[in-house]
Amino acid sequence: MTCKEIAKLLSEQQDHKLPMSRRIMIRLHLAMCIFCRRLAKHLQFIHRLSEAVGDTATDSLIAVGDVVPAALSSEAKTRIKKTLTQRNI
Amino acid sequence: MSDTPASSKPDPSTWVDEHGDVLFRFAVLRVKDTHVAEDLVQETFIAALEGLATFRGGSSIRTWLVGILKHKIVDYFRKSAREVPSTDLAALEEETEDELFNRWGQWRHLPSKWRETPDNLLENKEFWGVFLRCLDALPNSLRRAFALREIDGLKTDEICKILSITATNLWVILHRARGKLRDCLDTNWFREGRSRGETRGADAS
Repeated sequence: MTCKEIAKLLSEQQDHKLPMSRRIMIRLHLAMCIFCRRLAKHLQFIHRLSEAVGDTATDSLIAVGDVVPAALSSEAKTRIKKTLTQRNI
Repeated sequence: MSDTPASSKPDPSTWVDEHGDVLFRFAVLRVKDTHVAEDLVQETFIAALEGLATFRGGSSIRTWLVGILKHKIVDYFRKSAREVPSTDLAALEEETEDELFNRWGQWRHLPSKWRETPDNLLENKEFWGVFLRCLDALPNSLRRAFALREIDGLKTDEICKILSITATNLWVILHRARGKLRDCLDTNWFREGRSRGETRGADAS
């Protein structure tokens, strides 16, 4: 199997159980190929960090990111408050 | 975390100040569009207000609100999957090249050695900046599946239903999303002069 095929299987095995034959192929390939070994590690890495993103405890760290807007705009806040007050009467 | 007892009279205006930003970040991370995220937050508060009687106080108000928001986001994905059928899915499967390999099956960039562990990086704000930028660079079709699977840990069959795609499609999409993200992190963090380095290329990836 080529690295490309192995790469696809490495991703897929995170989403469904691969047949034994495939798992053996992965194992044999990883034993000889440092790049696919690294890739496998990178995929686990991404999995672990993404999980952390989902964890609201990490929220304060994510809040510092300049990519994701850190807060509701004040206009949005005012608008939402207004809508809620009308509903809550 | 505030633990407002369910018995106290709800004050939506304080909800917005106390929980609005957290809910908004939660939403925008997953749906990308800030206006959609704002709407989802508002819908969450409205639903919470209407369903306040069902709040048992076993968890904090915030956890409860996040739970409602999760449903709102899934509903939004479901609705937009119905409205805009993903036309590029067939093409996606036939593609001979991907993020990692060229058409001859050769590595585009040999994966470098990642020396840090995820746990070391959890507290690294600069790294999160790069990570989120890379996540943000994913096209919506990849990002949604990735968020549902890797960030929220949903089962694959649930995701297929939400996004109206087959399992095979989902595996291809996730493979591509992970490949893109891996490549972006490799380029902008691990192989770069990292930490103090620029995050160049993240948008173009």
